[in-house]
Amino acid sequence: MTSTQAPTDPVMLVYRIARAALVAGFVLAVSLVAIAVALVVITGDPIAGSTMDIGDLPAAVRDGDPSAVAELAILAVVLTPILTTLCVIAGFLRIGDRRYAAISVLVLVVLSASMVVALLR
Amino acid sequence: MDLQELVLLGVVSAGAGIVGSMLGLGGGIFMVPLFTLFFGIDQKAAIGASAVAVVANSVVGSTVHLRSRFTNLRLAMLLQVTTAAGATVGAIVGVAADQRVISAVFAAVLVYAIVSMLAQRRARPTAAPGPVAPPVPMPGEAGSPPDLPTVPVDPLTGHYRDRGQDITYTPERVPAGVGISGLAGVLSGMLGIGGGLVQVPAMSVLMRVPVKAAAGTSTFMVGFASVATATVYYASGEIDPQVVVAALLGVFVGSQIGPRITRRVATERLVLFFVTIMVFLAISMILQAAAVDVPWAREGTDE
Repeated sequence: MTSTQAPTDPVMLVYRIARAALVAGFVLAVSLVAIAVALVVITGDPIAGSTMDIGDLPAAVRDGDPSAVAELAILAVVLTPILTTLCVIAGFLRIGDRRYAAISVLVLVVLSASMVVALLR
Repeated sequence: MDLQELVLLGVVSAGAGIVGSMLGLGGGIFMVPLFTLFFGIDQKAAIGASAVAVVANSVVGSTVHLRSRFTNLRLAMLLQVTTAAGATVGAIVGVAADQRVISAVFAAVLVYAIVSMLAQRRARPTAAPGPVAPPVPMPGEAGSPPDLPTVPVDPLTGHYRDRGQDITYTPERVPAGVGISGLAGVLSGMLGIGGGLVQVPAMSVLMRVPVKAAAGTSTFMVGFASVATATVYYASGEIDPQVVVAALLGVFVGSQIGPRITRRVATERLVLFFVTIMVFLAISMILQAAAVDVPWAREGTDE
């Protein structure tokens, strides 16, 4: 079998990778939200109106606390663009576009800085 | 908040998600005033919830826009640098600011949005709708078109297919666009609205990016800006998981529908409808900023 496909813009590879990262984050977040809602129904415990300490999260998730799972879903949503940025950087490097890989690294640095600033306050 | 209210909150969020995806605004511009006015949710908690919902809206909407190639990935990453930085600054200011100040800024932004949308509508002749184009397959997928442009000369040049036509464009005045994105970031951080409100007109009017590409690129960008916002609000304890989960469920549904409608409907035709809602919300926010009792607003819920 021979391929008749014409050459296309190599940046489309980055599009594919970015899209895959977004889909993965979306699926994870939706799954966690669904689990949180299911736990609310099963346990009868409502989702709390405030967040818990991030250090307490793993234990609360293990205990099947719907609030903890809901919080994990929120974190999954928030971290998805950061995962996507990492994938975009890898994609640009793969197609040899160092300039836009560097720009994407800068985006990641700024987003990471916002987290550091937020946690230090 | 009882189950009925949470379901209603989800429905409102779904509506905001649909409109946000269609206009590339992120939905927060509708969500924050609706949450505070009709659900009595604390303004900071509404902004925090909106910021997370805007990220979700962006994630879902972008999966569709990337496939349709409405998103210009290189342009998005370039503009993102100042947007994310601005959002961090805006969020820190927003967390510390008085509620009336936020309402006043929100009202000003809504008025700007109304004027901007009406001006764009007047400036752009309404094109006759052509045949509906299916999503463009990605390279390597079955049905991938053989006649797409090869590597463009300018790396920021974007191309996509819309209603049977191949559209190719190169953004102009890029440095100005980068600067305005910083301002969009500040507003995004302060109000939890995503920033597309500034970015879409900036890209379409100033940078001469076609509206659908501007909306697609903005949808991708607002998620990144809102990450910075959500992080600052999360660390400040202004995230209410109950509200966020209801908003997320709505947005997941709404943002799936929005981009699909965008491909089939000339968004320009719906502008007057969106503007009417925004006028109502702007009046409400002006009254709140002036500490005047808003007759249709609900009292705040006690935690």
